[in-house]
Amino acid sequence: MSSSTLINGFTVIPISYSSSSIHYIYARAHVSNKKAPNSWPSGRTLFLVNAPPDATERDLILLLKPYGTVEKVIFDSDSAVEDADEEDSDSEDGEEEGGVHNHGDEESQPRKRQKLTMKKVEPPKVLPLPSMPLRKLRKTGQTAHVVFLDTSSLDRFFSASHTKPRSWPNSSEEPSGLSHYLALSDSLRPPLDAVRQHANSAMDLYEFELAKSKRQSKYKKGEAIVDEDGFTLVTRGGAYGQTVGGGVAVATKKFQETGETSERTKKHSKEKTSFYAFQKAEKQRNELLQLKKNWELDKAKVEKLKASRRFNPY
Amino acid sequence: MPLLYFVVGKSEGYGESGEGVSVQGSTVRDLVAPFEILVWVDEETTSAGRKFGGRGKKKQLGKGLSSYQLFRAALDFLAKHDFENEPVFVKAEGGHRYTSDEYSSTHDVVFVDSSSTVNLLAGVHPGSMKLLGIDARRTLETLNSSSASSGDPFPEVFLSDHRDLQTRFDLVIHVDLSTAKPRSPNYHETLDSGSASNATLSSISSVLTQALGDRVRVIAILHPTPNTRPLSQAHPSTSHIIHIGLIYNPVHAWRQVDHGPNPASDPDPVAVEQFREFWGDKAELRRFKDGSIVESVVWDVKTIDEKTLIPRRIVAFVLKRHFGIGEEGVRGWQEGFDGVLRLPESVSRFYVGENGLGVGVGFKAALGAFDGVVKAIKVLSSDEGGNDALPLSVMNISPTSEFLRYTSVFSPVPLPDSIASVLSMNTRYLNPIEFVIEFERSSRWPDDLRAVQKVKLAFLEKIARGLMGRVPGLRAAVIVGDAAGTDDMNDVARLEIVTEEGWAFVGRIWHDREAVLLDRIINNTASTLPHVTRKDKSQSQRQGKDYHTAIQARESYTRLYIHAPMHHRAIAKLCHHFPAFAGTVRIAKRWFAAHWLLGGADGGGGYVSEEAVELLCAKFFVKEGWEAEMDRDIEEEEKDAEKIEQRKMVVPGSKERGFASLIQFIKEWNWDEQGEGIFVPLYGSSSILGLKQPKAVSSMSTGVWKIRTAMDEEGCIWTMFGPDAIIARRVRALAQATWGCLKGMEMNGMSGGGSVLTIFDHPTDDYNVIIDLDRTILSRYHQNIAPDVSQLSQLLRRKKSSNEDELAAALGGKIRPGFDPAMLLYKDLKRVYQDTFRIFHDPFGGDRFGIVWDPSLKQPRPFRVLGSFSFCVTSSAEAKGKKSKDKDSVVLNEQGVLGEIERMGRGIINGITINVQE
Repeated sequence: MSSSTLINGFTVIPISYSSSSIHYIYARAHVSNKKAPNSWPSGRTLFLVNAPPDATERDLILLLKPYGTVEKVIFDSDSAVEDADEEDSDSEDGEEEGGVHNHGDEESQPRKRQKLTMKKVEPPKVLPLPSMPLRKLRKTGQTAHVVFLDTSSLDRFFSASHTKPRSWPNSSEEPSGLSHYLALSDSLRPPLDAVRQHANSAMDLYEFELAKSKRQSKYKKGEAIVDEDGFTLVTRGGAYGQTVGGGVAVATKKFQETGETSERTKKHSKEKTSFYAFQKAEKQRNELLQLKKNWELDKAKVEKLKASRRFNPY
Repeated sequence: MPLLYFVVGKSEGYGESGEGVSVQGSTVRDLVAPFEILVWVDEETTSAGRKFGGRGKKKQLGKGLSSYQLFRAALDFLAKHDFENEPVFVKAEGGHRYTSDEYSSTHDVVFVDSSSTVNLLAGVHPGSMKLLGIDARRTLETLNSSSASSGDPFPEVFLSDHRDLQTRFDLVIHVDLSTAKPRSPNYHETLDSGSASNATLSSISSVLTQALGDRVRVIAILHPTPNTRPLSQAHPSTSHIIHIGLIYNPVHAWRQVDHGPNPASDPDPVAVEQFREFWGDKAELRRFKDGSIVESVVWDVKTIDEKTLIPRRIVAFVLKRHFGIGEEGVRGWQEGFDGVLRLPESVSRFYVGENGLGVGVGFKAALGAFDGVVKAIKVLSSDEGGNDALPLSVMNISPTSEFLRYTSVFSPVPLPDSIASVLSMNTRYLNPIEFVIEFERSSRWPDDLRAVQKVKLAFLEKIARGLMGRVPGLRAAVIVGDAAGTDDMNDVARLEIVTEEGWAFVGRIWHDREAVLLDRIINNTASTLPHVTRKDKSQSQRQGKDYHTAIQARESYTRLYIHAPMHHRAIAKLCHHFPAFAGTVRIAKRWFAAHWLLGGADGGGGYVSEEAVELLCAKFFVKEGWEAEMDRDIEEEEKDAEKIEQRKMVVPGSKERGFASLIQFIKEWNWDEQGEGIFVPLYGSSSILGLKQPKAVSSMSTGVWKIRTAMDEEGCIWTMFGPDAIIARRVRALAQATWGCLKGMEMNGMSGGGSVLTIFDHPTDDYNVIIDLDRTILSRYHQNIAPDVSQLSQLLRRKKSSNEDELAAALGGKIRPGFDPAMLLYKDLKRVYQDTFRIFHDPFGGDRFGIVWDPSLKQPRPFRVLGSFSFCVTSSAEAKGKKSKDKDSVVLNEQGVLGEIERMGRGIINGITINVQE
């Protein structure tokens, strides 16, 4: 395919840091795995092993620029985090991605809108703490997924020669070294107003979510009403009081021990399957057919095995 | 009786064998002989036993005693008997020929044998007998304590060497007698003593006793063991090097004024004359606050540190006055230890002395500033707070910083703007002092961990705003995360306060509901009721990021909010009770730091946490039930004074002795032997009564040291992240080297400060890579063990480097509490490359990092995607030829990693040196 070195199916990309030190990144086309929850588009996703610990998205984008436009970069070590608080970090990402590639936004926009329209009431938006572009130092030997915009860039990437070390594009956007630590120290101490707004908006969101989950919960009666002094208002209704949700459930011993509810609630289908004679006959016939079919299949399989096992002298 | 001979002679250093030093004026034969008789007589006649006790006690020895019991009884006699005041007479057949007064008038110690002709202890100094008593007592204690806990006392009592001076004496002074000329030579005494040198020794002993008075409990004069001499030589060659060992009485040892006789009212002018004669021009007539005008000797000191030098100054003074031994003849190494705990002069001159800018420094000032902050916060929480009032009132503000418990290496200094402006960049470090705020309980906290963190932010913001509004000159900020970039479930919000005087504080909020919420995640009981147990733990529990974060958060919660305040209180109490404790801890911390190991109970920094060092040091001060004894001491000061006295002598009275004890312990500590670790009875039974023992999460502990206390049964809360077995072995090796160095100082009496620094000088040959840092931007460089002073003071005049300009521009005159670029870089490197190498650094202004590669990574191994280290394909052809069949193998890419480090530390790192090892 190319003159570059291959190791275990990975293409070796040498990168020179300085005249004496050379770093190696190992690249392979991403093969989507059915089990993996977050599957990247196969065909245009590049899987990188041993990305430098201080690599930023921008660094990798710059590195891969000759082969095509990069849609996004995901570092595997913190992909879980990004999934969890996508809403929080969206504004931040949007800023960063915006300049480099417009398509990414277009694609993410409808998705977002969809999500929002699903909800009846718009949740309060969390005002993020002011953030500076900061390098995130991850553990060494990390892996990353790079999604190209189109499939051709991936081919271009693998057909290119990777024998000569390329210099590492250290983007100046995010500071490194001493200035990194100064910037970090500043960004950890945001102005008090920003902290207040952030905390308040986060609490609003929390309360909104709480109210939502309460609406969905079984206990329609809602929470007990607690006044400012901490007293609970007791209202009329039910033997066990309305405040606790209008009733008391009793746990069985089995539930207490295992934490599992019994199977009683599982509904059996009301239709009987072998009541009439024709039902029985049909069932038997089907079983026989199935048996024959399986027999044929097995025979074919055995033939195939036999063929493959044949001694084959050169 | 050979048993006793062996104990006293061999392992305690009273005999004449082996190297080392022995106690002056006592040979074992002299001592043991009487005990032979003692026991023998005792068995014969029961009435004699009473005589030995001398106090009408019940007889301790009977006929049917085993040899072990006799041994113990003899030790007991040695330990308890007051030889100085109570002469001992072995019962003689026909009564004694001379009265006890007759012996006492000529000999210090009297022990007359049954023939009534020999005083066996003639020529023995009372100090030596006292020392013998203490050593006997210590042996007894070993016998007692070992019988309780399983363990054989035999090796400790008979096999280990107890001759070392530094763990037995609070102060050891090395004296060269070659130039000694007694002021008033007494020929009769010389004749009595047998030789001139013996006479000098005995007069030194008596002069010192007079000069030091009740400052010390024991004065022992020790000299090197004499060598064998040829038969042709008539007189033994005596060495003119002696050691004076003192054991302090901590109540009086550092007294600044000695009162003498009153010349006006005293009818006896001889006493006044004697006093003047003894002290020379040091004696002066003074009028004191109570109106008395008496002769007195005053030792003036500038700082509290100097107070501890008073006993040494007294010894030097009297030796010079009475024996003409100059400064160069009297040597100790105490000042050297003081020196490593002080800032260099070029920095400290801004704080103290006539050029000082008049700011309060030291622990007192820090405590005062802290009290101010506490008051200001409490006002905010009360009704007086007005508009700024906090919604919940503050219950408690507990300090958790070593700067508020006297155990920080350097005494705390503030950094007001006035001083910051004159200091150069690499001396401008302000250490934040941590504390914990506890609010009253409320049901209105959200029941969700992430939301709790937001509420904390809101609270801290409110406090910061309120403080800035009320306290003039105070600056406050909210720190919203830490460098490692953690999950928003972790409790990272802190309040940073810088007061007008330049003190920095960092506060956290303790919310006890968090523990419950975290436990729910850990035990997976989030949605169910507490009495319902889940069976299917293995599946759902182990997975999930939340679970791991929760484990981590729970661990830091336990440490920060439960153990830290408790530990702080206990240590502070210890510092008040044992004056030498704080100093011991400070030297010990400096030692660990100088060997690039100290720091980080949270696993971010070094390998041995500050609190672990404090606990280790406490081991030598506290005994089971010390708190109760302490309270009793105050009540029954008079009643049982002697008993207290005896007990206290085993406890180190000076920081040097404490440090030596620690080193001696570490060098022999076999931490994995019992699997239980050591137990430090830091908390008395009273203080833990009614307190539920907090559960510690020990599953993630990597440390091998186990230091148990009553509050921490597993003993790993402070050693959770290290030292692991590799580091612990290294600590032991370092301790062994240090011990050798201490021994060397003891024998050679190396002069003054320079030699002590060798203990703190770290060998760097073992590291694979040394990273040099730019000294001009290290904000703590002035705390370095051996700073290049020119770098500190001349910086203002010197042409500034570009780095420094950048730093200065970025700092913009702002003071950043706790900002230390080297430490930040160190923590990042340690975290990023935790599977690649071990990195070491001195937190106190160290200007180098040391790196040791993980040796297993140098072996070629098959390619793996999640290798968690930076690798390259093995280049050597033969390695490929062997393995290329099955899989391509890879090795660590050292150059690549170093290149990354260089990039990450741009502006901090000066250069990288690779140690070539054969």
